[in-house]
Amino acid sequence: MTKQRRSSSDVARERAAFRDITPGVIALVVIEGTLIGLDREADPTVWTVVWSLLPLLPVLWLVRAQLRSLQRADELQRVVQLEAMAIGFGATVLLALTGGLLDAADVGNPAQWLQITFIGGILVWIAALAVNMRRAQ
Amino acid sequence: MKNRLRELRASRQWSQSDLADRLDVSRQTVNAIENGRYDPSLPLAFKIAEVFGEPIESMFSPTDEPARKE
Repeated sequence: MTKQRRSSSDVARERAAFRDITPGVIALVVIEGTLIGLDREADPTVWTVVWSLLPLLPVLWLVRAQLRSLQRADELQRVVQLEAMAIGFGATVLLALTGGLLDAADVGNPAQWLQITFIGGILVWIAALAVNMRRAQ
Repeated sequence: MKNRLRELRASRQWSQSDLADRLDVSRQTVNAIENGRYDPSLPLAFKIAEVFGEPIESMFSPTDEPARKE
């Protein structure tokens, strides 16, 4: 079976999404790179707090990119994306609850669970998106 | 819901991408509608009918009733 070309609206959407996401990803990588030099043992100062929260800026940019992508999506793509986001949200809640319960039992490190919750939620979201996209084809 | 999308598209010798261009949707959406995996919204259904120049009721029908042909 020959592979069909994408529609012109597909191409336009993908290009717009790429333009939206790229600056955020580059900024996130650069800022995360600078955080490696952060002395976590030192007493926190105002600048340490500002520096630590700096990754929020590119993350907010990426949230904006995602919202714009949803606005540009056609109706089936929107359903697929929203379902994947709902599954990712559910996974994030479950992971956060698990971390909270473990912390209440004095097991594990809450900071680590926060990272696991964040990364786990994103991974489940991406996996759900891939499965939903595949099913819709 | 059944539809006559594939049949009408084939009669015009349009690819799924050609139809997607005319409807301003993704090729994936056209494919999903043709295969009955996705029922389009009312605005998209009207747009499909308009693109093919057919009345909407001739294009879509409930699953237990075959689509009417003109």
